[in-house]
Amino acid sequence: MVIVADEIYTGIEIEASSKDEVKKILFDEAKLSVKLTEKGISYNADEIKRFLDPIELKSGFNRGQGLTGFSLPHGYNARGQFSRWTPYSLLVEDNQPVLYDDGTRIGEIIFNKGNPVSEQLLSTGERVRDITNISAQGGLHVMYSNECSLKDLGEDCLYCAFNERAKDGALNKVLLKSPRQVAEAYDIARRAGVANHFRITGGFVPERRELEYYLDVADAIKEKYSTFYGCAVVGAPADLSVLSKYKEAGFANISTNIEVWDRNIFAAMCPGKEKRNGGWQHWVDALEYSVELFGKGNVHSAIVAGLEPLESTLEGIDYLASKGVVCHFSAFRPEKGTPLEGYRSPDAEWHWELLDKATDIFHRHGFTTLQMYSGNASGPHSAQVFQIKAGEFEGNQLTQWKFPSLD
Amino acid sequence: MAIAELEQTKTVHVATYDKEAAKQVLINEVKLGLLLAEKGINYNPDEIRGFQDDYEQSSAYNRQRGLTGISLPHGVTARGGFNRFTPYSLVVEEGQPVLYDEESRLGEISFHHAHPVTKELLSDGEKFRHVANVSQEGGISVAYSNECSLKDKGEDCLFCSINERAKDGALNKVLIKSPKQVAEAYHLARQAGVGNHFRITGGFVPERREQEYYLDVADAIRERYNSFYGVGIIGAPSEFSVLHKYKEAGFTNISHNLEVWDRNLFAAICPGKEKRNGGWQHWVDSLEYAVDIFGKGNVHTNVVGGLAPLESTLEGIEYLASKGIICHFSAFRPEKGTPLAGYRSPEAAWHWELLDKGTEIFRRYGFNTLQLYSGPASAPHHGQVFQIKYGEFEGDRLAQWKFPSLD
Repeated sequence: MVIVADEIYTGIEIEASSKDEVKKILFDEAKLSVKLTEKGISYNADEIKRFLDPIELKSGFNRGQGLTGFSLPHGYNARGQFSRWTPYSLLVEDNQPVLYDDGTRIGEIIFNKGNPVSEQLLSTGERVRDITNISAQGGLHVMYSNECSLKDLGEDCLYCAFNERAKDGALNKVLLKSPRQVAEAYDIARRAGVANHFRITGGFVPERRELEYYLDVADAIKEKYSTFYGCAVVGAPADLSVLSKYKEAGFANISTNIEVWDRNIFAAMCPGKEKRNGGWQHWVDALEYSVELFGKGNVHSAIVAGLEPLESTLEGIDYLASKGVVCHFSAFRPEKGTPLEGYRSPDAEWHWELLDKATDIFHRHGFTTLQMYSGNASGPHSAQVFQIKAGEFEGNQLTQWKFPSLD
Repeated sequence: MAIAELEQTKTVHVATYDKEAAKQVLINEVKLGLLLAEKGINYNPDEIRGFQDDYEQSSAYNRQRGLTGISLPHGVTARGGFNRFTPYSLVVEEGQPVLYDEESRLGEISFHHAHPVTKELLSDGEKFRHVANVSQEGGISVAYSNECSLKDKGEDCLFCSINERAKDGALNKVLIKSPKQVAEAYHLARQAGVGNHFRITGGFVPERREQEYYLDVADAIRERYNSFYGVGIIGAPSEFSVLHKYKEAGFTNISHNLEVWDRNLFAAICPGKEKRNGGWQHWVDSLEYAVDIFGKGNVHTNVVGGLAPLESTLEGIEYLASKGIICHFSAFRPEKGTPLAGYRSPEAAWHWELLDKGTEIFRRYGFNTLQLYSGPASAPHHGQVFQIKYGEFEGDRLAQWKFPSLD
């Protein structure tokens, strides 16, 4: 058995007699998930390949590496890179992939399946998946640009592989998507029932023209639909008053991703955001200003967890929550080609402590599950723990949360 | 075989002596040392315990964890924590600990043993080892204070566990050593032939009274000896002119440990050094001023390798080298009880790149081996790589470097 600071559930079938006991099972599965990320999984690639969904394999989120995302036996989401030196292994039993922890059977896992609508063609010949990702929650994620103009200034965020990934022509067929393409992909997805949330993000555009672009996209969508439910992920604008235009255009949520709460580490890790947008204080001001426009719980930010001390990250999450901003967080994954290549993310216990304490903060400030998923792409990282704490599960299974249907 | 992100040529027996081939063997062993630090070693503690030196196990450097320092088969120094899931294992064969990489036998290792003088008693009944450590290089290292006054201000360096370790009464019997105790320990060491370098360091003392203390220690030593060879490790003084006094007192080397080159990260990671000593620029200015007094190659600083991007760390090493300052570096080891507990040091390949490029810089600026060992305690981390590159070895074995004898 793997040596753990926190005891985790090891697959023994427990007949949970109370909601709290089930909660414990699900928390243990959440801890297992962060451990799989840290320690990796041993498997025979030839044996497992057939379980991996081709659409998921092609997703930008998969980074073209190893296993795609999967659900653990009780429904918690997980990922894991290949490692020979790990307690965790995947075996195929009765034609199903089964996870083991050092010889103890944990249970069957299920690999994520992409939505078939991703393969449909637009009128311009591109596939939906070249324009947008369809999330497991039934929403769309569009990166309008696959490049960030901070590269040319030598001011890329140090952890960010955006410009590195843009070099991959297979993953990024369309570097800059037109508003018309985005709206058409949205239409196809909405008719398929998977456009119940629309997130649009991307790198910095030269001359900061994302405002015009986002509004053009919203207008193009609204040629067919009177409303949509979505989130615009934007840099803090120099003139905060322009934020109201996103609201007027139809975005119900807005996100300004601060990435790092400690202001000195922010300056080091995000030199472009520090220099080009009035620095840390201006980003925080933009978030607070946005709450007046969009309302509490509808303004979002994101922190890359593992670039600064835990205490500092929690301080930021708590401060922003007190202002009505949901500060989501992801787990830092060092990326090839970035200045932080070769770094390692903190250990699983660190990430679990953050998940545990931050979701307490989210609950304390009265955020809802819908708000947890309605912001930037980091939302799902903590949302499942948030749901477990809220008792949002049936039996001993955490089902996949879905955005309420718009139609 | 370990995943070869570090390309290691397997140990080959050099039939006809080829210095370049031997150099490659030694460089591979350095890389192996880094991989052991990253991935750990699997061993049976009951079987290995007998090989480890009691004193080394209780040394503050060992942090009471796992294996004590070891010499690999060709003489390179290494460390490794226990890990069951690693390609590396220790097996006892014919009464000797032997290192394996999976099934491949790498060779016998030897554990470091403390010098017998460390078991001696001072006239006041204190054990030598409660006052000083004896290094493998034949010098002594004194942490005059085991506490740092930055704690009371909440301004400890984030990576530093000096105040955490101070809580351990077994490790730190004497929290503040008197100049008389230090001088007596020095005398015992020198009589035993291991006082050939004298390093004194410690936390910040309230009211910055380290200068008086260091001079008192130097005076106490010089009651018996005309001179000594050593380094005073101090914070950048507010008034640079006091640096002369260290030189006059007999210190031949001086070190201000900057810890982090990137000035934003310095401010975040070393809040006390940023606030109490005029900040990053003042530390750099002080180092440059010290070169005028102590000479090129006799002024030292240190960065903790793994807290700032590689490029920034190398930029600092290069800039400082151009001014005659040796910027040593260690490998970041996250410590329990610190704000960076749960972090993980970068992977072995990252540390190798720093070692490789850092030592190239040292060579380019003409520093010598004596200078590389004469500064702060991190010197051996890169000192051995420097020696290997300079061809300072016989056959395919790197002998333990020793300070020139003073007597």
